Amino acid sequence: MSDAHTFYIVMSYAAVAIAIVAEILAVRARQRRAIELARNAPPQTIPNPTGSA
Amino acid sequence: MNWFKYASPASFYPVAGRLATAFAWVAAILAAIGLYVGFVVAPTDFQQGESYRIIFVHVPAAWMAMFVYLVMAVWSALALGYNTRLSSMMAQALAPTGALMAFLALWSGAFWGRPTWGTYWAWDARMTSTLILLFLYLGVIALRGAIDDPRRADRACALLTLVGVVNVPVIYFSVKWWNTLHQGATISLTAAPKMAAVMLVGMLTMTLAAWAYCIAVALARVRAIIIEREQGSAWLAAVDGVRG
Repeated sequence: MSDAHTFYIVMSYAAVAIAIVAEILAVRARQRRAIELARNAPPQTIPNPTGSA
Repeated sequence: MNWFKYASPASFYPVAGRLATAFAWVAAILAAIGLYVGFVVAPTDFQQGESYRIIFVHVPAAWMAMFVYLVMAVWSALALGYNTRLSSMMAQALAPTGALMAFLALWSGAFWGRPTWGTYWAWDARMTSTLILLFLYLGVIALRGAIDDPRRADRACALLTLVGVVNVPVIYFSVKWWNTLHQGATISLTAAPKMAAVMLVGMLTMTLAAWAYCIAVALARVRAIIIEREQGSAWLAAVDGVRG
């Protein structure tokens, strides 16, 4: 593989690898954060539209 | 099989978890095979030398950028037509992955263009319309972030997505409609491929890997979105992992 072409190939594949790792980590972090919030969330109360008992 | 059952976030949540794991494995295995074919089996190109190997990430990223947008538009149409929450959640989950694919297509294209055309960027029809696609993805993400009420955000994003879908055929046909720098389609459903069989196998394997990856990551993200938007509901409180 010629040196000049190696640079362009490495830049392309490195970007893809970094992007995939970053996206996976971001999704995992979002899941953890959402679970943490859900654990502390108050239970939903269903409104009573008719006002009846 | 009652498919409508899976329109409910409560029913879809566990299925999405199982499917995300399965598709992640499929993506990893196919990517390993595709990279082996692309870097070990496929020979050097007689015209472009080694730089053509960027095709194994550039073309899958570009195809997925367009395809993910179309899928996002279908979910958006379902969300507007049937007012289903899960459809909006799926569209929301796909947008960042589509934006990433559009960015990677532009980035790898720039690093392929430099040794091939002598420039990283030109205001070519294919490149410019792909840049507009990236801006559409970012616009949809920004619009959702700007509206506090999730249901209003769903409707606004669905509308923007459906308006922007007109850009996808423009990208696809840009190399036919305008005679600019980007090469024409190498793969067509109506004509024989213009590349060596081994290169084609590597590229299609990487495309399937990208496809499986997009499905896996979108399903994993939609699970997070379901948890965010269903907080406080009884079914979520009973789910393993969420229950303390």
